[in-house]
Amino acid sequence: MKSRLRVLRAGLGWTQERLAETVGVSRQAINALETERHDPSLDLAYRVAAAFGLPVEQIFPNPHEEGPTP
Amino acid sequence: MEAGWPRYRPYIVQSLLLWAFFLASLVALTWGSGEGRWPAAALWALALVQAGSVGLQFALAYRLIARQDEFVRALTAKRMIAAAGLTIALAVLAGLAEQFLGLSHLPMWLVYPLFWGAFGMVTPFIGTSKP
Repeated sequence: MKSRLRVLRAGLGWTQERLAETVGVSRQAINALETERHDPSLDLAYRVAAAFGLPVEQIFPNPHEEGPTP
Repeated sequence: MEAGWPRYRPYIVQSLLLWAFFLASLVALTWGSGEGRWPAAALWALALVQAGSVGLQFALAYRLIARQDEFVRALTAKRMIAAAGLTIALAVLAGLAEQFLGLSHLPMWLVYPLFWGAFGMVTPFIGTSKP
């Protein structure tokens, strides 16, 4: 799942460690989200969104809304 | 967030102690079973305690994994499944080779160190929680 996580984090000047502490996960988890090695659960996506004060879909675009609706 | 798998000091210390006990028990069983030095009941008791230490090691590993975040949990589960598959496949191969091809008998307790060795070997190749 593509995300804007790295861009948003860099925009705030945060390290992966700082975001990990804020969200309550490991730095490896943040790195995995940024490098698309992990798709977040709904709970984690909401926690990340809360850390940035943004709606979830501004960070993790809904991949199921990209194609035409059948 | 606690230190990620397996960099959690209590887990490392407990694991080292359990491994030391496992190896010491092996030595004791080898010595005690030679020339009938120890009675069968004592050997059975030690074997049961040793097997219990293996179960305890997995319980500790499970407890450590349960404390991790979802990414580390998923990654570790994938690695353990891969290691279990590799270990069982090798054990089946050894069993068939022993039964039908005359391979020397290998003690079954070898699956325990083999599993953790397999876990270490597959770890560098499994770095994503995705299928």
